[in-house]
Parts: sequence; C-alpha cells; structure tokens
Amino acid sequence: MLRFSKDKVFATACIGIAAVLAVIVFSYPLESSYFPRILVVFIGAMGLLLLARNCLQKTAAKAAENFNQYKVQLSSAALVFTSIAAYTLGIYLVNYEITTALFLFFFMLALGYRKFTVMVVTSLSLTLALYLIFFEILAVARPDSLFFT
Amino acid sequence: MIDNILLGFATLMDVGMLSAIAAGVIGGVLIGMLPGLSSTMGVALLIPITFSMPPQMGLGMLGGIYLASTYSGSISAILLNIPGTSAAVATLLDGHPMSQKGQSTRAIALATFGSCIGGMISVIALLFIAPPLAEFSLRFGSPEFFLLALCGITVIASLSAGAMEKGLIAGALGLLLSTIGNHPLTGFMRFTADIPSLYDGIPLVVALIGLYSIPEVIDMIVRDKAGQVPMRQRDNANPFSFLPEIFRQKVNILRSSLIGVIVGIIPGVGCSVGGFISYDAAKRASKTPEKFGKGSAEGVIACETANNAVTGGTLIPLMTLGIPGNPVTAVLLGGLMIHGLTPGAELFTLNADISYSFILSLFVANLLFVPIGLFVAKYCVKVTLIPMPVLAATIVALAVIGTFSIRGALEDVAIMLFIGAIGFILQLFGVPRAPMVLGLVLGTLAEGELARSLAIVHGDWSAFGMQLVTRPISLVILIFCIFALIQGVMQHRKKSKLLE
Repeated sequence: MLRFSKDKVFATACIGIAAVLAVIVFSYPLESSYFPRILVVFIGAMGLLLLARNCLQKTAAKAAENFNQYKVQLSSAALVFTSIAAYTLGIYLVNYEITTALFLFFFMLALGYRKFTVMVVTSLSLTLALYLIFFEILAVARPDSLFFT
Repeated sequence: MIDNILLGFATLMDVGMLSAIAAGVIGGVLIGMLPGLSSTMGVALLIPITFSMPPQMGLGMLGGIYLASTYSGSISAILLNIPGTSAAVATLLDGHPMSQKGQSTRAIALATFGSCIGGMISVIALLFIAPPLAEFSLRFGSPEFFLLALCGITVIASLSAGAMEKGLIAGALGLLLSTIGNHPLTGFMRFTADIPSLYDGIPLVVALIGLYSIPEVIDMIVRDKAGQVPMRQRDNANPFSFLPEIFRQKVNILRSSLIGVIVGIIPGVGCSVGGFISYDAAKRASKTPEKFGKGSAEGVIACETANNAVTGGTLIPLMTLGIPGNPVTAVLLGGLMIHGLTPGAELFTLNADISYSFILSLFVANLLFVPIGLFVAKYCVKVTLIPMPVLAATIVALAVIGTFSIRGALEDVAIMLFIGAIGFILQLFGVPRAPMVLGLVLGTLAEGELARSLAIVHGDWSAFGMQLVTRPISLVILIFCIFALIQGVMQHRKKSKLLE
C-alpha cells in the first residue's frame, strides 16, 4: 500500500538524517553531547526498525495513485512558505503596518478569494487590530524597518 | 487557619479587589487565546501595572491572568488547531476534531467547566495540603527528574499507538531540537551554526506556532482545493446545556485534577505535561479509547481539567519554598517580591492576610473565567464560519506577529518557518506532531538533569544506573516507565493484528 511505501521513505530519511547528525554530534566534546548522541543513535535505530518492519510486512503492491494529492500539498506549502518569507522581508524593508495590509490582501487573492470589498476591509481592520493589541495594549516593540519606520 | 481564611474572604468583599481580579481574568482570556502570547509574557507585561496597587489587589490580578490564560489557550486550540499557550497542546488532539464535527460550543464548554473544576480543586490543595506535599517534592533529585522526562517519552509511545516507531522518532526529534544552543552545564554551543538567535535554543512558543500554524494553514488550503471543506456548521448551542455532561465525568475530572496538582507540585514539569499525562490516563481508563484523537469529549475534559489543576499545584512549592514550578510562577515570584513578600513560613504567618486573600482570589478567578470565557468563545465560534482564505491569512499574520513578539526578533520568524517545515514534513508522512512537542517541552529538563546526575557520579554510567534503581522514588518512576512502554507495545501489536 502507499502508506507502507511512505513509511519506508520516512524510515530511510530518518536513517540518513541520523547519520548526518551523528557526524556533527560526535565531533562535539563528549561531556557536552551525551544527550544528543543518545538521541541520534535512537533515531537511527528506530528508523532501521521501522524500515525492517515495513520490508518484512506482506502487502499487496499497489501503484501510488495519489501523486496529484502530493503535488497539491507541495504547491500549497510552497505558496505558504514563500508568502511568509516575502511578508517578513517586507516588514524588514518597508514597515509592519503597510506590509501586513498588503500581505493580507495578496495572500487572500493568491488563495483564490475574489470578494474585493471583504478583502480590503479585512486587511485594514485586521492590521489595525493587530497594531492596537500588540503595539499599543501589550507594548511590544515595533519591528525596525529600513525605510518607513 | 480558619481565621486567616475568613480574613481573606473579607478582603474579597472589596469592589476594587473584585474589579482587579475580573480585569486580570479578561486580560488572561485574551492573552491565552492569541497564539504566540504566553501566560508568562502576559504576567510579565502586566506586573508593572500592579506596582501602584495594594499587594492583595496586584497579586489577585496576576493570579487571574495566570489562571485565565492557562484556560483560554484551549479556545484557539479547539477552533483553529493552534494552541494559544503550550498548556493547551494536549487539547488539540480531541478539541479541534470536535470543532470539525460542528461541536465547537460543546468542546469549549467542556474545556471551560473542566478547567474551572480542576482549578478549584488545585486551589483547595494549595490551601490545605501545601506544606507536606511541597516537602515531598524536595526529595526529588536529578535522577528522578531525568526519569520523569523519560516517563514523558513512554507517554509519547502510548499516545502514538499504531505508529509507535514514528511517535518515538518524533519525540526524539523534539528532544534533539531542544538541545540546540548551549549545554546546560558546560555552555558548549551545539547545532547553532553561529546564528546568535539560536544560542539560547529554540523558544518553545515559537516552535509551537511553527509546528501548529504552518501545517494547519497548508492543510486548510489542500482541503479547500480538494473540496473537503471542514464542517462549519452554525453552532448555536447553549454552553450551559453541557454542564450535566461534566458531572457524568466525575471520575475523569477527579483523576485529572489529582494528576494536575501532583504534576504542578513537581517543579519544571508544567501544564502541557500535566495535560498529556492526564489525557493518557483517561484514554487507558476509557471504555471507548478508540474515540480518542477523533473528537473525544473525555479527552478534552481530561487535559483541560489537568492543565488548570497544575496552576494551583505550581503555586504550592512557590509559596511555601520559593521554588517556581514553571516560567509563569517564576515571573509571579518576581511579582511577590516586588510587593515586598518573601515565600516561606513568613508568608503564611506575618503576611497571612495577603497570602490567604491571594489564594482565595484564585477561587474567584476560577469562577469568573467561566462566564467571561464562554462569552468570548461565543463570538470566537464565528471564526469557523469565516471563508478559508480570510482565516488562513489571519492565522499567518497572527503567527508572524506572535512569533516576533516573544523576543522582538524577526529572525524568530525564520526559526518558526523552519519548525513549520518540519511539521509539514511530519504531516506529509503521517507522523504525529504531539510527541515532538512533548520532546521539545521535556528536552531541557531531561538533558539538564542527565548532565547533573552524571556530574554527581563523575561521569560514571554504571554508578548513574545504580542510582536509578537504588533510589526508591526513581525506582518507582522507572517501573512505571517500563510498564507504560510494555503496555504501549502490546496495544500496538493488538491493533496491528486487528488491521491484518
């Protein structure tokens, strides 16, 4: 089943990650790395156990039919990560309030929402609410921006 | 003692005092609900406001914030699948599935009543059994604390029954992430890649936001594209109609309260661990354990009762010995000292009027957050009716500003994204995220206590092993750990056979 092949990929990835981390962690002084060393070995061992269990499991081989679902998941993840990175960069370069309002509007647009009045009202009112709660009431220091501070 | 309790009651009759507690509760509910704003941050930010108040009033306000914020983290956990505070992490497991079934009001009502009862029981414990229990927790040494962390790992194993290796790997990854930064004893930097933001490790709240908000937003988009929009039924039920359900769960509530109080008394363990242990105990005792993780009311009641019962428990060692049980009580200790109060016997003799009015103000706060929490939640339920793009954009904006507000550093958003990516990958492979959170929560405690235990025996592992089996308390915890692990393995095998 697809679930088992997924488990195999995960187990193999865990073994790989454990191997890479082992190289790093075993280069640290022993007295400062007991705990991460135990954990890295443990992750590798669990990965091996999971892989062995899945290899031994008798399952009917089935074609992986859910490639489209993965594509949707990965494209959605790419949109979210890119948007947050651009939003953070915008805060750093321009200004929190302007960037937040623009981010909210364009993120909704990217997600296929087309009610422009709702989008404008939401963007402005949410920016104002966040500004009041965090910077006025809770007195969190505003992020420093390069241009419009 | 009775005289002091009556004196405390008399103080509560003041309108100013009641207003201060109510203000604290309202502030606490709002702080707890907003992801990224922790109880610690709320209490710390509002301590300066209490400077000018009489000690009773100031402490009553801070106590209100502490209790209410611990409770209200469950509201965003249930509605948005993002825990408002780390205390509500266990509530996610069943709270959000209930919300997806269109039972938001029921989930919030049960969480509110459970939190209230758990909180009340813990205040009774604080009032009457504080000194002997606090003395017992002093017998815990480093090996016992290390084993307590291991006990958390066994809970992870049983929580992720059916995918035990995956659960254990996620837990170990969480523990590994908690080792980023300096070593607790030697100060040696690990996994920091010379990035200053990582020198003190990954802030827990930043990790929680990343682990829960990012994968949740991605999942919302995927479900929306696939046309699998979660049930967003209009939920106009009266929250008080669920009150009888709470009374039917009296054993669950009593057990969870007891677990919460005991966990609270042990310093450094915290609300989230109390919630998980109680959830696990409720699942083991339940007649319908298969419903856990799919929207079980028992699960929501267990973790919410326990995490609020922890609050009173943490105040026991704080007030009697000056040992803060968690970061919030550490800040509260500062609040006590700012008002010229020193924890210990003096607090219950010379300043008995202040300490007893503080304890009794916690009773009032527990009662107040029921109407206030339900009123706020009534409007928050509408969150589930908001179109997906608006909700997703709101969650992302809240996650970014919430992350920034922890340390005032935009670099933390990058850390949040990194943890979010791990959360997404785990979700993609069907690995539970909760064990990773528990690993992150327990990691610092486990590593610190392991390092201290080894330092005591000069790095001799065999002597450390002997310590674990020769100390009575550690031996009991060790036996409990082994028992829980074996039970988890047996449950897993039973399920595998059923699947075959």
